[in-house]
Amino acid sequence: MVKWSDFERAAIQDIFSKIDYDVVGSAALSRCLIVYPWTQRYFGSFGNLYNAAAITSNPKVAAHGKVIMAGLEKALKNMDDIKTTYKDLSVLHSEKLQVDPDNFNLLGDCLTIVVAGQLGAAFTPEVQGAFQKFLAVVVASLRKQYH
Amino acid sequence: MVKWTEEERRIIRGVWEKVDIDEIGEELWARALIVYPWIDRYFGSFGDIFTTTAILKNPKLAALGKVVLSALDTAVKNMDNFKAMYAPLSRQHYEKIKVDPDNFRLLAECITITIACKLRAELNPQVQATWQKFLSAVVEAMNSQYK
Repeated sequence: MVKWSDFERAAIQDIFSKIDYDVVGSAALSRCLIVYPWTQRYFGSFGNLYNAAAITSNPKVAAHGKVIMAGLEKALKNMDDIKTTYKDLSVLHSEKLQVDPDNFNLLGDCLTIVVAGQLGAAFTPEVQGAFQKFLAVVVASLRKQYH
Repeated sequence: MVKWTEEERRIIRGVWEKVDIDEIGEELWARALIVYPWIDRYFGSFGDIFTTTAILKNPKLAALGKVVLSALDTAVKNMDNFKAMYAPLSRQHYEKIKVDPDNFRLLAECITITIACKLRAELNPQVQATWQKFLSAVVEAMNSQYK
């Protein structure tokens, strides 16, 4: 079981209370598709992803960004058992979507950069540490049902 | 050596112009040590790096941050041939300091996050992609003398 310090719980809750859900998920997914272009292979039905401008203005990318944030919020509300909370999501990504789990880390990295940009100086080293620990647990939970 | 378009050169110089080596240098190692604590194995001679407070105040870490960014400055100013210029640095990290080369990638990530906190919206997806391409080339140069 993951142990969270009081600081970590507070820092993570605080981040999520400050970030704009409508923007962050979509911005992170866009960056992932732009910076790591091979991830586009999972989004064949999303239409035009041919360049950065197309990706950042693609409405399906924006919509999916919100889906991702909803998923993260579930983890936030169940921080003491993200593994169980994410069981079905993990099965979905493994069996149906067949996502290479290394890509979870890439999206996590993009999320961190977007949050850093939104929070600026408030994204201190300790806050970064707490957030990256949260993402590491999320990623491990998403990987859990892969064989 | 990596090939750079004019646009990429312009973007990288644009990011680098905004980096205050003193300011960013101070934060850089703090983030790395707090977020990836196993890195402290390389800092036996740095005094107290065992708490977040100590890490944030440690003058040797701040000084080393500036050393790293000065080396990055060399790369920015010699984008077409820094790989050769980095050979002695790579050899030093391999033979003398014995750094696990995975850590170059982690430090690069911390550099990008520190810059994201400073530049915020200016580190847009296109800029992020170009900057990360540059840091990947730097990481590769640091790896070049590892056997």
